[in-house]
Amino acid sequence: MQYFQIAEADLQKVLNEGMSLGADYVDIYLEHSSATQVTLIPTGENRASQNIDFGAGVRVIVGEKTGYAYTEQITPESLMQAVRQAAKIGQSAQNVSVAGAFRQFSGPMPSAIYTNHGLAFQPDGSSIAHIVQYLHGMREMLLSADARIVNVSAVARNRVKRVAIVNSLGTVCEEERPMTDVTVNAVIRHEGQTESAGSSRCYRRGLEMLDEKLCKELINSALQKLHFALEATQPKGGEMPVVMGAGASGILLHEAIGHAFEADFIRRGESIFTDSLGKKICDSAITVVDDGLLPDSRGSIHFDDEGVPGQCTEIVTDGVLTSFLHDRISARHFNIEPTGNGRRENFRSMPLPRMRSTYMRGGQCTEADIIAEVKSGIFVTDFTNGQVQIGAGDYSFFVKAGYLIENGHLTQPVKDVNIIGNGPQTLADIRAVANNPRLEPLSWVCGKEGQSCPVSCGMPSVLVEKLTVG
Amino acid sequence: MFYSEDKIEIADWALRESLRLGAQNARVELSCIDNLTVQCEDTDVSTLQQSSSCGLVFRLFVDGRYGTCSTNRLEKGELTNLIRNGIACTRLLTPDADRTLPDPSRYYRAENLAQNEREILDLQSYKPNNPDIDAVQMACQVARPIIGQDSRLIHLSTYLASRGGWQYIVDSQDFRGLLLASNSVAYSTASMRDKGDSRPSDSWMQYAVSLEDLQPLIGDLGQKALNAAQQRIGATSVKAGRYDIAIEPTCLMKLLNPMLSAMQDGALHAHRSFLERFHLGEKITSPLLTINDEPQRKGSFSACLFDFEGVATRFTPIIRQGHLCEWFIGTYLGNKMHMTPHISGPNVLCIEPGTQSRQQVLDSLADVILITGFLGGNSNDVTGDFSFGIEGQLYRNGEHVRGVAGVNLTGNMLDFWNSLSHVCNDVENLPDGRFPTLFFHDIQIA
Repeated sequence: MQYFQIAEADLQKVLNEGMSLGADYVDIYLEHSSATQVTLIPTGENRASQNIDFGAGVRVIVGEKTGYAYTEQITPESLMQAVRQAAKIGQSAQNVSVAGAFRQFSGPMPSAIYTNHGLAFQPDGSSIAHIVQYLHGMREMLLSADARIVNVSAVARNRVKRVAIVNSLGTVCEEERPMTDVTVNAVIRHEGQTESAGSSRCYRRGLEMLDEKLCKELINSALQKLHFALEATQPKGGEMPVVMGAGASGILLHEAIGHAFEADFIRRGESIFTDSLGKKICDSAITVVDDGLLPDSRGSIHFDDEGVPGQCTEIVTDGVLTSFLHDRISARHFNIEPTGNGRRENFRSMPLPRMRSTYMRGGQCTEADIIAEVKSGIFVTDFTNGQVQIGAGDYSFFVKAGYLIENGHLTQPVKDVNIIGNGPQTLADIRAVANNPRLEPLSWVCGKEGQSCPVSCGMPSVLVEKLTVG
Repeated sequence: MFYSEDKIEIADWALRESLRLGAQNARVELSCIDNLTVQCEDTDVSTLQQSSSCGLVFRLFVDGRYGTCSTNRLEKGELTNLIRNGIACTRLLTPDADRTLPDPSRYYRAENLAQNEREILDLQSYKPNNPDIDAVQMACQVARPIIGQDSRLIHLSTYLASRGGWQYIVDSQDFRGLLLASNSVAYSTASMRDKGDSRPSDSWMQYAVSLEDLQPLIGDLGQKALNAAQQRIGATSVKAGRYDIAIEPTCLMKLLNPMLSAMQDGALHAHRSFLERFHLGEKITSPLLTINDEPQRKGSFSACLFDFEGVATRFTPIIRQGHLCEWFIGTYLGNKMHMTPHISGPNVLCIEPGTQSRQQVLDSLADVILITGFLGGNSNDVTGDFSFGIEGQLYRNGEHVRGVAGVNLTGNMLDFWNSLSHVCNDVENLPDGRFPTLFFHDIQIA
């Protein structure tokens, strides 16, 4: 652990100390993150910020109980103090032993899913200069593209997180995780009407992703959304067929089933899918995966935050629920191999089962075929603010853009409606899956127990027979 | 003394270092926080976390430009490198003459930190935890009274968190200020078995300034969570249409936030505010609504003496009898928009209560949906159009009928707040302020 200036032997002593205090398992997560951000405000001025965060978290598991402590100084002494603090969980009450064992993933450790090409955070300011120039160029291009645009704001962030994990099972792994995202927003005024819209992209890449092609893509996308917003209206609500457009509609999977498949909820019996493993839950045309191996994807990880190798996990196979999403704790509970879903926001937080990139594989028909089937319904393409009730299965997400479907044709643009459904019911109500699967590289942020986590999602176009729109 | 003089010395040194390395002005913010978190499943502890953290934020004004940097590495050598790089990076930005520290005449002033500390403690928003209180024991006790009470109960999970800390702000215009804050929260969730695979849950939460103050408040926390979850069993949608609705005080911020955001300097500057066309003094809501910011109200969780710029806080009417009284304008965007800066955001929002109880109003109405939770949704900054998923209870002539789920509350923020029909007298002291139950007439449910 040269980067963190601590010897592996010293880390091993900390692990040994935890085990000697009664732990079944101990791990240490070391992190050094450097982030830089440039924000362009509507009148064209800018500000920059840089952040450095450094520390280590120590976790001690005793039976079904977990103790956690972190330190902002990575020294043998501070880590030893942290492990003793975390081990207090073992003394807090009677311990219940767990039948399962901490098993290791039997597959290989993936590599080169993402690389840091060197164009990342540079303390000398060259990264700031690059971002400033890029954002100003984007602003000028967008303002000149349509005279009705009143203002443009934009933000770009680059973060490099160096992590290392060691545990009492013998795991030792270390890597650098890059992430860059860029967002542009604009306000447009036309004949007394004011609207705003924006576009964003995020990848596990360095600043080299801020190229001319991406700039044009963002500008075109933002322009399209601005013009759309001027035309769109809030539709009349009610229960109706909904065609979820390819790409961002993956939020449906994330909210309707993804969270309820996270195995901490299963272990505690809280999820509506608790008793559904191995059962048919939807049409045989549907296969859903949670994938940590997609190149450069925001949700990808070579290994999770417990040191388990990244994997692609089929959670629904031909309509059958085939796997939940496990961290080490739930995997031990069910006595299976972990699926590499143990993730955390930073060293101050314990890992939890979290999604990576969740998407549905493509089907047979075309999107046009699906739309043509609908007499009266809605086609939706752009979303925000998803939320789910894990136990009841009720979920919702907000539609920023879509169209009415009338007699099999897209007609009036619509916006600003909320869709509510029930996860298992929605899955069962999917009537058609198109052949256009797409992952949407937006800055998706998933929240759980106060922790934020970068994820991605995607989907082909699908027809859901009935959802509440309002 | 609830702060560390050693760490304050580092912040003071960091300010001097920022000026030495080339900043013309700077503000340094030091934050030190202690956290304790306990989670229990029924009466067994499942997780325990206890940690402390400390960090510095630098706001650098360099050659007419502005940049920030932050770190939790407080060694002087590391800090010098960070400041030097931060200044170099700031020099690459666009000049912006509106970036200034506040007018010093607006600062909070105390004779010294000891007086500052006494004045904060007098606000009763900080109280250190009594070391004799066993947080694990306290959290594990919550479920005990309800075990075996309802065979449909899967389990009761309880989350108990206690957080306390201090912040020290120092700037190059001789501002020095100390903030102290603490809060403890206990949050229980009951998960129930319903028909089929459905496992509805609901929660209850209790806040206090310390564990000691929280302890007597959570004796019935498990029972309240269980009662709420029982009411979620069999919850169904209602027919789309227009209803009278009531909002629980704990849920009110979801509907108040879009209004407050529309009053923010950032929204006005970017023309992303549906209130932009209004002027101070104009009517924007029902005359039943009066909201004040009372930042120095004793016993409020967010009470404070000054804001993040060091500007002294004061009682401020926000909306009086439906009329807009104040925008939230900070120094920078105030300079940019040529508006007088005041406060950059509210601290302790207080809605003036009415005279009737919630039950009295429920008794006087036919069908009312009492909203007890939200499920997603959003509000459009520019138009004020909104749609939120809701959870709640249907009441008829004051009697509870059944749970409600799977429907949306939709409309426009201005129409909605003009439909306020009753303000109750049941004010609750919550982290964002003091709110009573509010009733609204003729609201669209879809």
